[in-house]
Amino acid sequence: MKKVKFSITGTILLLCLLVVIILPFYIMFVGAFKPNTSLIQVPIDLMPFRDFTFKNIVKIVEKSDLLMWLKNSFIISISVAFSTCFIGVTAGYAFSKINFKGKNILFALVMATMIMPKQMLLIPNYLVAYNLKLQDTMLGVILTSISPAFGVFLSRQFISTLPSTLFEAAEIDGCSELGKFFRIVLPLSLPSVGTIAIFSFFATFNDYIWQLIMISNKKLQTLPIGLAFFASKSGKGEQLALTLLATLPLIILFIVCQKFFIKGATAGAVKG
Amino acid sequence: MSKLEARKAKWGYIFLLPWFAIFCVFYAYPLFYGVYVSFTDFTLGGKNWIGLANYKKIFQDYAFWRSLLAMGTYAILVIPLQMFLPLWMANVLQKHGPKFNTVVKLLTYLPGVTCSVALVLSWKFMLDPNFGIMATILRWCGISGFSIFNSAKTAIPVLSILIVFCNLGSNLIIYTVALNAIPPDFYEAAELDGASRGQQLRKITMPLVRPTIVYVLITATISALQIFVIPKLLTAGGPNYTTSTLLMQVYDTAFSNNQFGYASAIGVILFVLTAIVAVIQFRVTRRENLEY
Repeated sequence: MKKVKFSITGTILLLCLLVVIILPFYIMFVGAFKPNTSLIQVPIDLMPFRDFTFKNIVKIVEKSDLLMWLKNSFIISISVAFSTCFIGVTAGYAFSKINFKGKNILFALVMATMIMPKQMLLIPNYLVAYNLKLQDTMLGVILTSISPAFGVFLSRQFISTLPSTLFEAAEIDGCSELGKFFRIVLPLSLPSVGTIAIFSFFATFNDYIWQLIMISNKKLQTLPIGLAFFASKSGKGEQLALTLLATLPLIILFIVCQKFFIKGATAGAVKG
Repeated sequence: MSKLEARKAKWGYIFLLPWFAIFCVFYAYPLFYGVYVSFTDFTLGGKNWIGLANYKKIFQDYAFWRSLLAMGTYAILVIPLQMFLPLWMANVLQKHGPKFNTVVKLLTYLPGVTCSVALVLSWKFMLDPNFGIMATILRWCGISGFSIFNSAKTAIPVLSILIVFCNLGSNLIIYTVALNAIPPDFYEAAELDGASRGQQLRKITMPLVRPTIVYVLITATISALQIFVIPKLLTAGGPNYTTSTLLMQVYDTAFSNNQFGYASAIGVILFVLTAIVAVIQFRVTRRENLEY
């Protein structure tokens, strides 16, 4: 094949855009290790390693509840990821491989919830949680954060690609319905479960609005809530150190799990 | 239906149960409950049926109309950027090797996987009127003490760009997959026929990625109706609601003023707007099923 020459202007513009996108991360990294005084001067000092100090990091670890916030965020996000997968695989299996009355109408509901984000139901969702005495509890945050459609949609798409003969053969061998689910559906849909889990984990971990309305108890504060709260009463250096420590674990996780993001992002957009 | 089929159907319902429970309690029921609450003067203390009073109040509410206008302005800026910026990037990236592609995609995705509160704190620092990068650059140009967040004319474009950055990564991936799905022989054939770069773009690429562009248009429109975090944390809707959105109004009326009934009425309007976009989406995507 002939080698295609890339456009030089396009590439330069692309790199400029990339610099702007990356700039806040650069500032987190550099600013976290600078004394407050070099961050509030003009012109601004953004040279890495000049006046290098660990003071901000030490202060954050000692003074803020970073570890508690991280712990709460992880508990909530892992629970949401697990629930979304559970709901997704069970319903996805039913929608793709079992015939029952009302299937099309019920799946239309899944599609509708997929298109219409839950944020519009902010107030009634809060009131439901309030009436169930779930406000200001972890369970309340978890249940209101679960997306009722994403996992179902992705699982259905994936499970419907599994050959039906597999299920017929299992039936002939006397496999029960539960057996089929646990021995065939669950192990074979692990790749899509991975995508669903990673996507809902990140979405919950970085979400702000549901945690903001559901949590008022300080002991339950999650990373985004704690971060916003702490930032309003600390110096620039500490703020940037905190944002760095809050962002780093997720960036590492993201780089490790990057292949799942391609599948998740294109779910619904491109026919597989 | 035979006995065996009936037994199988029963399992279908059993497997649907977890989804159905969550759907009913945290989606379907709140939907109707929200409409009901919007006809009351609900506070966390109690409620009375007040009919359409909340909706009448909306018509005279300056904050509501100002937020609707601001939301529309965000939409006009954010939607085209979200549609075409990643498409352009995907197009440039196509001519590069896989390594460069991976690195650019990873970096572009970073804001999407970062906690928005952390990201906003860093941006706030950059855009600070007194000490940030922005202030330093403006000082060189002879301007001092200028804050972009003092006026909606400068605040909304900046906020819009930040909103676009947060979704750039996933849209870039969607477009890359769509561009890669176009068979390369289409371009080879066109080149043999003497078609220029521009002609190839207009006659091959654009028609074939059209369904994807429509998909991005719809998701971008719906997410534009839900804009919340970035303006909330950077401007809190100010000055004088010029950078506020409907979702921010819903939040503030309920949780700052304890007017849950009124907040629900705004929520219902937001829901209707989203539903209209969703119905249009259903119509359009059905027509757009291009095969190749």
